[in-house]
Amino acid sequence: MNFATGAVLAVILLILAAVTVCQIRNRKKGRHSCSCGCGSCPMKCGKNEK
Amino acid sequence: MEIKIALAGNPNSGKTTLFNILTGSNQYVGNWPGVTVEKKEGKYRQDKDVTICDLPGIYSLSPYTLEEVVARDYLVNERPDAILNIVDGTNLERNLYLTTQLNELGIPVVIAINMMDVVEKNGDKINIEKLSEEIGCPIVEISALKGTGIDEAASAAIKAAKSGRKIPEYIFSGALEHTIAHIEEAAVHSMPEDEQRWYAIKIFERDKKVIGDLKLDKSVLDHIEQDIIKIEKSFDDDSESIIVNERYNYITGIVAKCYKRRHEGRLTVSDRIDSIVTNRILALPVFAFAMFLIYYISIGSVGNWTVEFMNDTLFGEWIIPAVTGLLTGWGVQDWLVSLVADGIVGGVGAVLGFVPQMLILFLLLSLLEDCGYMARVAFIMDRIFRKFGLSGKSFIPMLVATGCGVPGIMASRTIEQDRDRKMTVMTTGFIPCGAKMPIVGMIAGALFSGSALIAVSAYFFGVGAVIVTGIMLKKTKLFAGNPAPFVMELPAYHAPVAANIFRTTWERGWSFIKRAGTVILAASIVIWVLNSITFDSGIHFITEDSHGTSILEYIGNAVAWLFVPLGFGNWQSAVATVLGLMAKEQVVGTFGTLSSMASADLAAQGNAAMYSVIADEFFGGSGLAGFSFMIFNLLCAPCIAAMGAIRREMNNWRWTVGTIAYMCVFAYSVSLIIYQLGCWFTGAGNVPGTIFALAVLGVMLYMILRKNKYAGRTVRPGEVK
Repeated sequence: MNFATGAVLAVILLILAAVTVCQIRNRKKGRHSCSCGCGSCPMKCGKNEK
Repeated sequence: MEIKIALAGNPNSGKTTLFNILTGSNQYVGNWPGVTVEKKEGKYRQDKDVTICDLPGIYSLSPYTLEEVVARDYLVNERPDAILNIVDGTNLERNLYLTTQLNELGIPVVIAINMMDVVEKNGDKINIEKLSEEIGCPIVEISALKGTGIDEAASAAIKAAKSGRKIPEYIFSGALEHTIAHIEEAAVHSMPEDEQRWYAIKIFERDKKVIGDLKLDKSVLDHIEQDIIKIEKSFDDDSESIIVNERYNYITGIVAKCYKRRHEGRLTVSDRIDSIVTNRILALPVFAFAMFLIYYISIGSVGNWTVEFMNDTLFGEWIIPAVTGLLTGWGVQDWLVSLVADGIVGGVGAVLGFVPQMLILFLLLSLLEDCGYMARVAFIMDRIFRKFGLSGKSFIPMLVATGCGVPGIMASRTIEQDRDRKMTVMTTGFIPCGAKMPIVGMIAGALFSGSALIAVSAYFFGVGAVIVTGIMLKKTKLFAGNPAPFVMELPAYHAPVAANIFRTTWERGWSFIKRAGTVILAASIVIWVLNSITFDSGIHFITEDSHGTSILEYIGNAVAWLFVPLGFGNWQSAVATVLGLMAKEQVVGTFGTLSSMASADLAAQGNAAMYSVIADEFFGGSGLAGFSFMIFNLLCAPCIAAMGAIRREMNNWRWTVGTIAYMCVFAYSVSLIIYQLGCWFTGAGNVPGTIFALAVLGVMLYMILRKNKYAGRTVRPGEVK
């Protein structure tokens, strides 16, 4: 495996790890990634919480 | 000094619009009643010591609906420092009914008369000074839509909050006031003076919750009861009705002095539009035409061009060649180039390709919502739903669900009757949400030349599924009973507000993009890996020289047999359907990755090439199989987030599992009937499949047409647990 392949693979793995961590953290906070996009989402997407 | 101001008013009077302006928040605003179910808090933009609380829209402080309970509990228990009462100026008489009750709480009230621009446009006049004098609280004219008078209203509320508590004024006739004073003396004399009147009136109305909370002695209650009975005899009415009539007598007197109408009894523009769009005969054709037009534009014509641009030009000509060229130039190995180009860009790109289509769809739906038409649709659907055991109130969650099923399911909690609420939760997921629309767009594009009729049929299949479920379930013991009456105030039509429309559209679209960049991206990588590795002759990557059956193919084949009777018994469709339970966009994401991996450089060849792989390899060129696949994915179990919402609303695992199982069985039955009978009609059917489909159709028809032995049964709320 050359350097370029290793670097691109590392970036992809980092992105995967970040997505997984975010999903787990949101779940722990009781947030859910529904796609309604509305500010008053009863699923507490994390938007507009003041 | 911390100040709490509550926004209270009738449903659809503009509270949330005002709340958004005051707090700089982004709460969802809908032009129909009942959008706000829970209270929301935010800090006032201009003074962070001031907390604004947006309460659900209510007509009174009687605890009959969830909204009234939420609002009343907050006002009575939390006792904010002031109430900013939003009053719809075009409906002064009915709105002031709540004002009279808010005034009794002893909390300073400031009235913000909204929609003054409409009042003036109608040529009507409200004498604000006189009204303020009569009601006994400051009044500010505002237009929440145009953003005028907002800060003046907030300043007046802050000033009122600082002025402290207020003793409520007497507004009823002498005999009634005498009895209320007697109750104050006998039951609530130990309370602060400003709070006594509200409690006394509630005791007079025999409000069980208030009487229970106060824990009054039986002797005191008996004594009060004598007074109430005496005045009931004198007024020849029950105590609650006496209070209602007295309030309206008071309001009628005030309105007569302060409100001058230009054209008494003349039809407004809204009335004239309603005479057509809510007409008994024309209403449904108008609605069907409106939905056809929306789907024709968003999926069929303009939407199709955008998908072609996204897939052919943006991804096919620009992004994929650029990414491939860059990675190859860096010397990245071929398998990783394939992972990025076919796996990530193919999967995520297939979903992102539908973003403009989604934005157009959301934009058009927002236009209909904001102008006030969608509220009429709930009214129109009430007539139809009622025949099948549901009320128009069940249609409100379905309106919300066109964006996302999750808040749609949650919106069903405003339905008081337990059985109707449960049925609404069970059926709301049938309405095609934004995440399901790419499936529709993909099938329409790949197998039906982008026909708008496919998209329209998806919507009406969803509504049809709700109606059929309503008919079938209402004939069972669990759901039997008449639906509750549906009373809804139709808002006046107004020109859509650009800020509302674009905010709603963008937020829904942005969530779609975010999901593509997170969940779909991760899933695309996993799909690529699972489809590139085989266990045949030891674990290794599948290459041109080393073939084998991929892990994903093994997994897909393990469940694909289930879908053979539905016409899509191949492993790719099976994998897409199962992964769709994670997020419905993933169905398209999976097809994107798998079709890109099916042949070299396919992703770079654009939309037509991808559609041809989907049509020929995944559905054998059969439009019927594709349509059956689409219907199954629209009607079967929703995504995980929506299943979680069902669990929360049902608050019972058995009901949750039952709902999901029902949706899957229903979707399977409908797809089976469509595919098998469709094949039979086109001469491609087989005998066992046709018999199986006819048997399922027979069972469904029996469930629909059988006699309802529970017809006319009295509804007892909370009977079904």
